[in-house]
Amino acid sequence: MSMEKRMRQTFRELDVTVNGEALKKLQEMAGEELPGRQREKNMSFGRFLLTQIRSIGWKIWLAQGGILAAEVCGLCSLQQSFGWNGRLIACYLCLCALLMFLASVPVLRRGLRYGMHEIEATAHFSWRRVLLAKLLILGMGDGVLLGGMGILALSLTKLGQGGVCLALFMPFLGASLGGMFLLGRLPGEAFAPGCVGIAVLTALLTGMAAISCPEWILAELTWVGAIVLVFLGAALIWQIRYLLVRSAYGELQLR
Amino acid sequence: MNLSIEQVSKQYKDKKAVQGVSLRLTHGVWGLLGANGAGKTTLMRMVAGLLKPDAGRVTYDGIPIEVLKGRYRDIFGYLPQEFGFYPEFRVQDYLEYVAALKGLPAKRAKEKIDRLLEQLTLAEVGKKKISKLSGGMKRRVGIAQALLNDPKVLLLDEPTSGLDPGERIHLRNLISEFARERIVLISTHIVSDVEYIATRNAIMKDGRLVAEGTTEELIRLVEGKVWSSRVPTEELPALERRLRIINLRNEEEGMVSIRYLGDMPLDGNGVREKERLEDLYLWLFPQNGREEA
Repeated sequence: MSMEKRMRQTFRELDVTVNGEALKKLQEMAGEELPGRQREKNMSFGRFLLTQIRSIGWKIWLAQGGILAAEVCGLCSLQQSFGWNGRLIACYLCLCALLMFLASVPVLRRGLRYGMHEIEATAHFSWRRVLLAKLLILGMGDGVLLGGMGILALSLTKLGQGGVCLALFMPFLGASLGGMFLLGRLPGEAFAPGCVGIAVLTALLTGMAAISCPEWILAELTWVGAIVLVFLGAALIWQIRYLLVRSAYGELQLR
Repeated sequence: MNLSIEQVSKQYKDKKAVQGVSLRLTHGVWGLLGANGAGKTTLMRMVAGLLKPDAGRVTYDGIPIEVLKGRYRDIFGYLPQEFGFYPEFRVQDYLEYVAALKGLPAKRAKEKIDRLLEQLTLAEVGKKKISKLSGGMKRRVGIAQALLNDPKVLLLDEPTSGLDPGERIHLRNLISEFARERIVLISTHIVSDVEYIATRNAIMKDGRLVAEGTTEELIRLVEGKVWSSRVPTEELPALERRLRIINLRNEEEGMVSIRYLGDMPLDGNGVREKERLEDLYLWLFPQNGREEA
């Protein structure tokens, strides 16, 4: 039944006579009032994102800060102790990237670890938006960390852009792609060990690349490298989309 | 207002957790009884939208819940069997967090939280860490989070698990008060949780619904099957193998009084007892396959 018919019926039941023009005006006023009421009714996703930042817990934020500080100090002391050693620095940056990747795992597992996942999954925002919020927070944080480490590596060492991409961004994107793949397919308890496996595999592959193509370490970013980066980024976004829209992530978290 | 569970089934690898269960819930308290592993939690999770049924569907006012999506989540509250909290949360923080998850604006959330803390006698512990609370208080916090959005449907999975008798009674009364004009579904293996407050009960066994009705209707299924007798203590081991003994009480002069299930009394001194829902539960879930008298 349309809004107008329902209003006419209600006024009939209340024995109130309302002409067509008054009815139209009432409908317009109701239409103007509704979005405001809806906004009052529900919290926006932006505000929800802020509550998720708080819920992650100060220990995890402290650990993230600690990791960044340790990585920066590590890079500086590596330079001081060993001077320019391209392969060593590339390996170190790869480890930093993988550490940043692994540091995200406790955040993603937090709900399951502390038994909050069922309540989070059945609330208004549902597991999809809780997970999206966490991924956005992690993505922004890791973006800052990676960018910072990359700039530091370029300014402190003789590493070229190609070397920074090979050693820092590609391992991170590759491991994250693998992590998102596992998140949508493995039961909750298997996710963390799976991520450790991914990190080890990525470290081995990056190491092999650095050994077999050492000239990349000093090189500028080529179009091949750029395409690989874009491909990894796009694949990561596609995998996150699959995770949020089609995966059985919600069911996989249930014991 | 009605919540319909229509022929839902769910299979895990080689186990059929729920098989063809149908229920139509209207306002009031509904008890979902069954032993551990009967499929209650799986069914609750399907009703909560956490699990997708392999067959069948769950509808609210005729609309499938997967179509309603967020609109369904907005009208129900859920207390899972394994309910936890982030370790740094105080009671107030936890309820504010869940209120945010439920999309409640900050002002409305604060009013609601203050009211619930009063109603559930948690006002004194609002600033305390949840980890420091007793089991009963933690459960009340769990109920509070489920009530934050004024749900029309409340799902409680083993809400009294781990509580002492006093706390269980208090919680039961709270649930009973809340159930006016709402649908409350309580899943439990503790019969007394629902015996007095449930409008209707459903009993699950091995994933299937084996009985459904009011407490009085269900009790009629064991009408004339509950007896008591006084027997010598030395006969007890043999009787325990033959009978489904519900209760036993040691008495003087080497005798023991037993309450048991059976089509006939044990002997000429057997007295017929008034049936209770617990008796039906034991009739349907015998221990170790004992034979009847």
